[in-house]
Amino acid sequence: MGVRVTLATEYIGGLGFTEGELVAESSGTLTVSVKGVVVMPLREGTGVAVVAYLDPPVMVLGVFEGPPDADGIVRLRRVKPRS
Amino acid sequence: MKIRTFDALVGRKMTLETETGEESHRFVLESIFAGIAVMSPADKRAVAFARHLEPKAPLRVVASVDDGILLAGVVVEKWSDRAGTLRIVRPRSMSFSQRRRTVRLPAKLPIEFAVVREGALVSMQGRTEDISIGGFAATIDGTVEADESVMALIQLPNDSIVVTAQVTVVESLRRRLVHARTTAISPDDYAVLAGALRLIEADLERQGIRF
Repeated sequence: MGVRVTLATEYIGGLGFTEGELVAESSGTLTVSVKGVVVMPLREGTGVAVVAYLDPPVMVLGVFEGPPDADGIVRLRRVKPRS
Repeated sequence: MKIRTFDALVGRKMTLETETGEESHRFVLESIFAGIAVMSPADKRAVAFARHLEPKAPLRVVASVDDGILLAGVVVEKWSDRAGTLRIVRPRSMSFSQRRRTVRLPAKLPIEFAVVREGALVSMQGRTEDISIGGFAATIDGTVEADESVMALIQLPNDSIVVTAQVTVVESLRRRLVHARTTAISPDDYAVLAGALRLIEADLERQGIRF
């Protein structure tokens, strides 16, 4: 899909950001290729805000389904928005 | 069905905390047998916490349910390195505290916003003025607009959570007081927030502060 994204979650008392690219989206799961050094705790279940730089940018919340694989691919389960 | 007993929480995550509330960690209630409950730590920090607990150490268990919070005092039986589980004596009963979705508690907590500005994220620091399960009011050192979406990291007394929120009201440009409604929160963070609100509420009650 090639959409630029930023992942944000807690990192040492503040918001930590990691840049990446949205690889796929299906059935509430976001697949993101993260770039460079991942400086955030990618624990399963950790809440992470995702900004997808569409026009206009879209902000969603997901939880990590696990740490990134060897290729830097990480999967997030999208959290259902509150009504 | 409304959950009111400890036994009905098997398979659920909950918080175990010290009596002073200084340290709290997440555990999953795996099973209950012969009056002993087996708890699995939810992360490495919880393992480290559990490993150093002495037998008979007093703890509180706080569990978030749909319509409130269940709370009970418990004591440690022992930690098992082999099984990686903490055994606690099953509480005979739990107190239930109902919480309306909209109750707002006055609490000054560090908060950090991130908002999108011209294709990049801008970070702002601030402090909450009040907080509820559905949103917060905060003073921040930047400018946001009504209806704008923000990421927010909220430092709760014993943990922190990340939420997405929508700014509903910008009350004062000078003080930069904004109200925001939570639009998404992970299930784990929801439970953490619910537990923290219960502790804040109890603390306010102890201090005689009306809210």
